[in-house]
Order: sequence, then structure tokens, then C-alpha cells
Amino acid sequence: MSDDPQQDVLKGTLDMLILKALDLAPMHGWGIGERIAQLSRDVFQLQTGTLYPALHRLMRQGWIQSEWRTTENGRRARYYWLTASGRRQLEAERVSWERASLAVRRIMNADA
Amino acid sequence: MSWIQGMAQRARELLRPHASELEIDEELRDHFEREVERRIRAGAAPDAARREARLHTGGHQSAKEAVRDGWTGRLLADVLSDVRTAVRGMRREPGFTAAVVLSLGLGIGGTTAIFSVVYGVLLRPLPYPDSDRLHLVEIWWNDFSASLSPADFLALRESGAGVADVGGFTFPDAGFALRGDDGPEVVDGATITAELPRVLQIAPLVGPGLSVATTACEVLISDRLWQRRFGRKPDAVGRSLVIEGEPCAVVGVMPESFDIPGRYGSSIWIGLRPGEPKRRGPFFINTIARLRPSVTPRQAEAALTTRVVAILRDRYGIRNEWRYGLRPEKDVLVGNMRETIWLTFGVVALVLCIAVANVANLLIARGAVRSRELAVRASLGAGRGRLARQLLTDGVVLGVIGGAIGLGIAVATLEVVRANLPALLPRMAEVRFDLPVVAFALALGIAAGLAAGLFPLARLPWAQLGQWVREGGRTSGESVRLGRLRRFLVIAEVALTLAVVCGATLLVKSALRLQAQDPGFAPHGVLSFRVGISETAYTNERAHLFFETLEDRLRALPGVRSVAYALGLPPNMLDVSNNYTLEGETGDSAGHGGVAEWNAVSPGYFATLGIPVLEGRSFSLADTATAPQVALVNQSFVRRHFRGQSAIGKRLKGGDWDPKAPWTTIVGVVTDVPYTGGIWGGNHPTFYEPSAQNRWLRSVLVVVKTAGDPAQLVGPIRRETSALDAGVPLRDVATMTERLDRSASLPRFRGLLFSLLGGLALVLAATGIYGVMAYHVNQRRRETAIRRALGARSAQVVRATLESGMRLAGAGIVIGVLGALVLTRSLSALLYKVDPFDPAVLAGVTALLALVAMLASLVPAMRAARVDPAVILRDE
Repeated sequence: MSDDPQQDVLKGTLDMLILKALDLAPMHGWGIGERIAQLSRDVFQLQTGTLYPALHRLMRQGWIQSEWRTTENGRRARYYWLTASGRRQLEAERVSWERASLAVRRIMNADA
Repeated sequence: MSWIQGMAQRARELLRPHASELEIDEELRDHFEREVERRIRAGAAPDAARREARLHTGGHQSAKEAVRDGWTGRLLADVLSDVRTAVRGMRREPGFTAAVVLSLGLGIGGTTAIFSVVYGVLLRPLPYPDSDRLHLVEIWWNDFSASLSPADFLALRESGAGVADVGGFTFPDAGFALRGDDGPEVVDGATITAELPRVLQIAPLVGPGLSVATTACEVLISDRLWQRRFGRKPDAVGRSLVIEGEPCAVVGVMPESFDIPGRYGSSIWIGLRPGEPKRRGPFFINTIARLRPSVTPRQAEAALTTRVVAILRDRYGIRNEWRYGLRPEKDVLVGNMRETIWLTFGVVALVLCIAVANVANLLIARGAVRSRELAVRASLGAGRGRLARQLLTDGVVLGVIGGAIGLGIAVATLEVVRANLPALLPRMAEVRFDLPVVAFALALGIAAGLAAGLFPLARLPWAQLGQWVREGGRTSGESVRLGRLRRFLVIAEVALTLAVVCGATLLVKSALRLQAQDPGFAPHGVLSFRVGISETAYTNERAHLFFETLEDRLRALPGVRSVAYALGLPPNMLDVSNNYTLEGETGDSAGHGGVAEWNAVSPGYFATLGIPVLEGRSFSLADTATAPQVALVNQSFVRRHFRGQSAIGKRLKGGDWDPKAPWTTIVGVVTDVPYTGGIWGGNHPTFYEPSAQNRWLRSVLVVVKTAGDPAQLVGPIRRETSALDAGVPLRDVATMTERLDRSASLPRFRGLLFSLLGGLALVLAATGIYGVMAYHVNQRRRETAIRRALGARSAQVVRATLESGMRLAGAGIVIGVLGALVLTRSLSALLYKVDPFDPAVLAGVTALLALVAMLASLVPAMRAARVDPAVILRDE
């Protein structure tokens, strides 16, 4: 598992991606994975062993909350949504991510 | 607010782990079904959709494990579940569990018992506030050290200001006679200067305490004596006790915690007031200094030496190079027992190492059996960390149980030690089981369990876990590695055992030699006791008359053969020595001649103790105070001075050289008996003078040779003594056989202790060899079966197994002999007339270990010989 390159890409940004996915609307776990896959054009495909531990970690941080709801077709699913502090965290991560990615881009584009 | 929501989530995970797990299960199932539906919607066939979805989402179990691993409460829950699994495993294998837990228990028990002694005697501070500032003050002159004289003490007390607070004490070996309603009783006590309680920082419970400026006799009493004599009434202060025939005013009651350093449970402390002396000596005051917080011992030594020497010079005109030395009081009390205690602790720790090696071995053997179980758990998704935790938990649970058993063994051991050698160890009364000792045992158990648990863990083939699992927990490479580790452990066990057993054998041999040594006197049927009379109530003449009369009255008792009294007794009850000058040597200044043990004895002494007079005559009643001064010397004395000549008729003077003093003539030579250091200390030059010519005797040891049982005479002797003086008790009553026995009790105990440790090590090593060989035979069943099928005979199979067992033992023995040489060298100070490299002992122990190893491999070898090739080859 650890030699999967996708894991390395996600390292450190996974939490931010999940928060971002939930920023639009409350969602169940599968939907979060789907949304990240869609938005990344299938670059990031989260396995359950990555997604759910992350969701529980975010709950422990108090950034998201969850609740079991009955969905449109009468099925039970666990929905997650952002808390106020989660929204602040997302904003903070976005700022630092943009600064970091800009810096990385500058380095990579520099003429040696 | 977010942290509250976070805490709520943590609490849910911790408090309702089962419900949370069900939720995850449901969530993961929901996730999987949505994935399947998506694929069906995209046009996949249901079967293919499920297959792809499974690949896409990853394993249900591993996802669940990953979520749970993040839980806060998860760790606790896992540990509890691991403990439950460990206990279940232990219950399934009671024999294995008993072997492991007993190995650990014995190892930890021994180590803890000795640790409690190490802690109580060496590590725990003395029972006084800020006791690390308490130092013993000694006078040093080159290598010679002494207690202080009254002159020194007074000068030191005056010059201590700003540096140290000093107090002094002296104590008689035989206690004090305290008059009671029904005769005198002997109580322990000391004489102390008025400052001592302040120096030790323990104040009286009641009363003002000793005063500095009075000449009247004052006494502090213990809480217990206060209860016994005065029923704890406060008006006890001011009443008086009669001690050694003198009335003494009670000036205070001291709490239970108070006593002079190194003593416990004394009843009285009499005021000691050194008067302004005319000359410097004698030196008898033990002096304790409490240093001021900012002063180091070296600074204090320098300051005190300068100031005191100045005072002594002004006052007595003394010019010399004596200086004052400070030693921490704790070191003084522990004295020469430090090495013995650390050595014993070291050896016990070795035995604990053997026990841990043994347990590791057993765990590895069982680990091999449990490989299948571990493989199954790994394939069900248990991560590495999880398996590692389980194996370590196994070790720790075993360790904790072993530690608890060890604590029980330690308590029992310590009781035995306490009963057998109360007086041998300094501070033994302070040894007890308290928090540090219990914590030590449990920590030791956990550490031992962890260490033992790490061995099987280290040999799990993590890198090829997958392959290993597919093969059902058996791979060839793994078994080679396991074999190497187990063989190493067994070799280490044999080596350590050899060293410990060698040490034990040497100590036993030494104790036996000591016991067999001829003491030079005949102890059988001789009763002895101390009689002391008041220094002030008896003049020299009256004192002499008292002892002569007592001797006569005792001799008249039925069953008594002979009676004598003396200043000191063999094997170790004489602490007087004196310098002397022989006639004909350069006798113009003091010190020429030498120093010899100095005893004063009544005429019947040598006959009563069966010490043969080799030459000349013994003392007689004609050797009175006014008759010419005569002396007897022993063989060692003759050897020192008169090699090849007769000592009879030679003359000498005792004490410092004085031209006017009369000469003393040697009239006889007796055989050597030990006085200093017991039989172990050996014989030294000894000088005997007739008791009638020693004018200072007030406290003597009486010996009574009886026809029958000495114990029966104690009553009549006590009656005769109190008929002479109702205030004189019998002290320290014992037969000479008992005294001889007691003088050898420490070496004997050491021998016993090390034999137990050696025996324990031997049993552990035998178990270890047996375990490895049994496992080895089991692993090689297939190979053995093929060899049998190809025509190998039983004898050949047995020999092959024995050989590999003996190869292990052989390697251990070679290493062990080297280890033994190191260990026994450090034992040499504890050996009596035994060479630490005694070849007979080394050879014998080596042979013993080889034999034990042989027997331990024989049982598995026989089992190998019974292998039926048909059955084995069919099964494999």
C-alpha cells in the first residue's frame, strides 16, 4: 500500500480535500470519494481504508460532524458536514496550500 | 467549541466501541453497495460490478482496522483484549504457563529480596532529617584513625561555630543494668552528649532534654520504657532510675525514631559530659558533625583541623600533625558489607538473566506452535503493530504474574534472612518492603516479560509475512533463524550457570573449611556470660574481691567443673591491644617491640577453656597484685620475637616506655586462639596477664565448665551473683559452642544463599537445554524418520541428538569457565583458605554441568529414537 504513488500525493492534503468536498453540501462517505474523484478528473481515487480513517480523524478534531439520515430512496446513510471551525480550518489550509503550491511552481519553473 | 465536539466523538469511541464498530460496518457496507450500483448504472453485469467494486474500495476489514486504530480509546480496548487473549492462551497451556511464571517468579523473588537489602542498607538515607549532612569525625594520623578524646571533643565543639554542629556518644556492648522491682534488668543504651539530639534533629516528646551544665546524672528514656515503667505519665520527667547502681534523673522521653546511628530500640541515653581533661587521651568518643548547608566536608575538615589544633596547642602544648577527617555517617555504618551486598546483588541479577533467557526460550518454542494462529490473524487483516502488541502483551502478562509471585518469594526469603542473621548486616532493621521495593519487583517483572516477549517478536518474518502466511506460518529460513537464537540463549544460560555454581561451590567450600578449623580451645560444655560492676561503688580491691568470691561460689555449685574469668574470650570477644617493649631491644623510647592482643585472665582460664600450656607454667593464686609481675604469651608471640629460643624468663614492659615501670617476666607459653575477627581473622600475637595484677577490671567475661547441660546452671549462677550484689545482672549468656557457631554464621549464610542461587540456576539451565533439545528433535522428526528408514539404528539416533545437545553445553561451558574466572576473582575477599581459581572446584562444576546437560538432552534423544518412520513419513 505504501508504495502507491497516489498516497504520497494525498499526504497532507487529504484532510483539505475532504473539507473542500464537504464545503459545498453535507455528503455521505461514498459521495465524498466520488466528488473528489470527479473534481480531480479521477486522479485521486480514495479507498475506504484511506477515506474513513480520515473522516474519523476530522471528527475528533471537531471540524466535521456526522449524523445518520434516511436518504431519498429510504436507505440509511451517514452524512458528514462542516462545522464552523471546520470552515475556518479549510480557509486556513487553502491559504497555506496556495502559498506552498505557488512556491513549488516557482521552483519548478525556474531556469537553471 | 470545536474541541467539545471532538471530545464527544472521542468519548463515543471510548465508551461505546461496539456500537461505533457496528456503525462503521454499516457505513462501509453502504459505501460498497453504492459503488456496485454506480457500476451497474454504467452498464456492468452485477457479478462483474461487485468484483470491480471490491477491488476499487479495498478490504472491508483493513478499512475498519484503520479507522479503529485512530481511536483514542482503541489503545485501551486493544490492550484489554490482548490481555484477555493472553490469559486465555495461558489457561490453555497450564504446564507452559507454570514453567514460565515460576522461572520468572524465582528470578524476580531472589532479585527483589536482595534489592530490598541493597535499598534498605545502601540506598535509603539514615532515619534522621537531612541525614546526608551527618558525618563521623575521626582523628587521622597517616593511616591511623581514632575516635575523639574528651580534649578533642571539647575543642571541636568550641570551634564548630559556622561550620558544623557536633555531638558525641559512646555505647557499651553489654548494655546497662537498670534496677527494677524484681531485680536488675539489662537494657540497651548509650551515653550521649547534650547536643546529640539537636545534631540528629530529633527533639524529646516530653521534658527539657539533657542539660549541658550540670554534674548530676541525667537520662533520656525511650517511649517504650516510658510506657513500661511510668505508664506514659508526664510526671515521669523529674523522677529517677537507678542505672548501674547510680540514681539518674529522667529529663525527657525520646520518640520511637530516635537512637544513635546504627542502633535501634535502645531504652536509655545517659548524659555524657566530658570534663576538662588534664591530658589529651584516651580516645573513645564517637563524634557526629552536622555540616551547615553551605559547607562541604573538605572545607569543614580544613577549618576544623586549623581551629582545633590551635586550641589544643594553647591548652595542652600539643604539637603534632594530626588532622580531622569526615566520613559520611551512612558509609561508616555500612562499612565493609558494601562489597558483599553488591556482589550478591550482581549474582542474583545473573540468575534473573538466566530466568529471562529461559522464558524467552519457552516463548519462542510456543511461538513456533502459535505461528499458525498468528498467520491466521495476519491474513484476517491484523496489522503488524497489532500482532507485535499481542506478543508483547503475552510477555508482560506473564511478567506481571511472575513479578507478583516473585514478591511473595522475596517476602518469604527476607523473613528467613532476618531470622538467621539479625546482627550480621548493619541497618538490617531498616530493611522492609515498601513502595520502592514493590515497584522494583513489578518493574522487573514487566521488563523481564517485555524482554522475553521481544525475542519471539524479533523472529517473525515481517518482510515475507505474506509468503509466511500462505505457508501456514512455517518457512525454512525462519526456523534456521529461530534455531540460532535459541541456541545462543542456551549457551548463555549454561555459561552464566557455570559461573554462578562455581562461585557457590567456592563459598560452600570456604564455609566448610572455616567450620572444620580447630579453634584452639575446647568449647564443649562451657557456659559464658558477662558480669559488670559499678565503676564508682567498687574500689580496685573490692572489685577484685568480688570476682574472686564469685569464682569461688560458682565453683562450689553442683555440676561445675571449673570456673574462670577474663577480660576477653575467643573466638572474637577481645578488643584490647597494647604496645610493649622487650628487654634488650633498643628500649629507650616507646613503640619498640610491637602491639599485641592483651588479655587479663584468672588462674583457671586456660584449664577451663582447654587451651594447652606448652611450656613453663600457668598463672596461680600466688600471682597477686603485690607479687612480681608475670605474663604468658602465645605461640604467635614467640614466633614473632624468639625464633628458636625459649620465651621463658624473657622480660618486657607494657604500654608506653617508662624507665621507672617494673619489668614483667614471661613464665609460660600457650597455644594460639583467635581473638580478633574470629577464626577467619586468624591467630595473632597475644599477651596474657593475671587478673589479680590488672587493677582496672570492672566488667569481665566468666566461663564455667560444666559436667552436664550448661543451660541448667544459668538459674543457680544468677542466684549466686545477685546474692553477692543484687544490682548485678548476668549479661549476654551463651555457651562457647554457640559463640563459635555465631562467629561463622555470615560465611555459612553466604554459602547457603549462593548454593540456593546456584541450584536455581542449574534447574533453569537444565530446563533450557531440555526445551531446546525437545524442540530440535521435534523439528527433525522428518529427517530422523528418513535416516531410520535408510537403516540408522536407535543408538545412532540417540547419539546424534546427544551430540548436538552436548555441543551447545560445551560452548556454554567454555564461555562459562572464562566468566567464572572473572566472578571468582571478585569473590576472593570472601573465601577462607580457598583459592578462587581452585582447579578441583572448576573441574567438578564443569563435570556437573556436562552431566546435567547430558541428562537434559537424553530424554528428547530417547524420544527421537522411538520415531516410527512409517508414521512420520505418511503424515508429512
